[in-house]
Amino acid sequence: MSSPLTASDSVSREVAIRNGMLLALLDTGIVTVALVAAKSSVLLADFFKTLLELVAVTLSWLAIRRINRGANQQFEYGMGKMEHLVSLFVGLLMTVCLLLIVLNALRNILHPTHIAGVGILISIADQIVYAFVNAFLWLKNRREARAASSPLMEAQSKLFLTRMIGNVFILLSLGLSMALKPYAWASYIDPAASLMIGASILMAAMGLFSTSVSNLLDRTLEESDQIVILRELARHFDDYESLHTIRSRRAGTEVFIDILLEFDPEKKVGEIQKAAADIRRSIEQAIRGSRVTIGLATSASA
Amino acid sequence: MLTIDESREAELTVLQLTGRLDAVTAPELEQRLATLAGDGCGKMAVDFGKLEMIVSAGLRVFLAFAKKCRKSGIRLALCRMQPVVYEVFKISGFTEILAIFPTREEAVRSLDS
Repeated sequence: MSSPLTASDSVSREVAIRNGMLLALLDTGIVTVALVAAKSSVLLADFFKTLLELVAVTLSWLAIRRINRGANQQFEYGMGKMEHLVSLFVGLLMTVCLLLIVLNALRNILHPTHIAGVGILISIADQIVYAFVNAFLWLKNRREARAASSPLMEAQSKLFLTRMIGNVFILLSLGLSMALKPYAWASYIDPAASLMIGASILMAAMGLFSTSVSNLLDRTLEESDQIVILRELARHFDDYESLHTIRSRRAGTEVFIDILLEFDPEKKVGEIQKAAADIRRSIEQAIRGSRVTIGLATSASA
Repeated sequence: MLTIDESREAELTVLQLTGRLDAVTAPELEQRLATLAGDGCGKMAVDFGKLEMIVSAGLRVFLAFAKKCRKSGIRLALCRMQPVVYEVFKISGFTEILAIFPTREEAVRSLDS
């Protein structure tokens, strides 16, 4: 089972996401200027990629901000669902951007032109700066992930590595297009590279869609996990009087299990609470991501 | 598809299960067991010899019924499980809480003792 986030963890996560958002905002600004001041498919693709990153990180920041501010004793029902709906929205946005990138690339392949304009130089400078920033963040996160054996930090470090590779790729594409300008075929480098950026957006969109749709749709718990629930109930056979119902469902990585048990009416409330808590804990430990609710039944509920 | 054949001899009821005990057929068995418990059956042997398959829904019926038996004093014994069915009972920990015998005779003898 994963350990719960503390309040200070949540606040530092909010600060980290906000800093990421500000960085993405600055990058989007520079990329927009570069795009306006140049004629390049790669810069258009880079603009959409950066814009999508900004939208995604802004939505994450708004969500975590709401969770942190909403700690006012009111339970935020459906926050998980909202997160997946937001992911679906980002996925849709990615699809639209992808279409625009592909259409623009096709137009430039059919009517090839060499990239030009001061925007190319702005973008080259931007890619160099961000490649170094992302390389620094990748190495920093990788070091911290290894020290803390944290999968979250590991994922974060991989994200920065991917971004750095993106920066180098765009830099290479722009550099080659400029350097090989005398050759007619070099005019195809730009649209071809934009299609590769489009492919990376497509892969990210497909990942988002499959994860979010799977998380939004409830489904039956796997047979192996149902057996685990029964095994734990058999292990605690003497702790309860009757088994009434077991209801379970899986929503993405989360598993919800409701068990209605009847306890010996001669038992004290404290004993019943302890027995119910023991059963709940043993099932939650046995099934990853499970949330177990033990309901108390009477003979009349049968 | 599940077939439940019932035979009674004095206080003893023997159920012979044939087919598959899955999410579709489990409610039928649950209903039959509840009826028998309500009728004041004192001893019950369940013969699994012709049961080909059991899933969690079927196990749940036996877990709930084992509890009911303990509460109402019904003596319960299961017998003649095919290896694949016994394996499911074993990994679920049910072999620890239910009396399971290789033959029907042994099951009946345990209920009489």
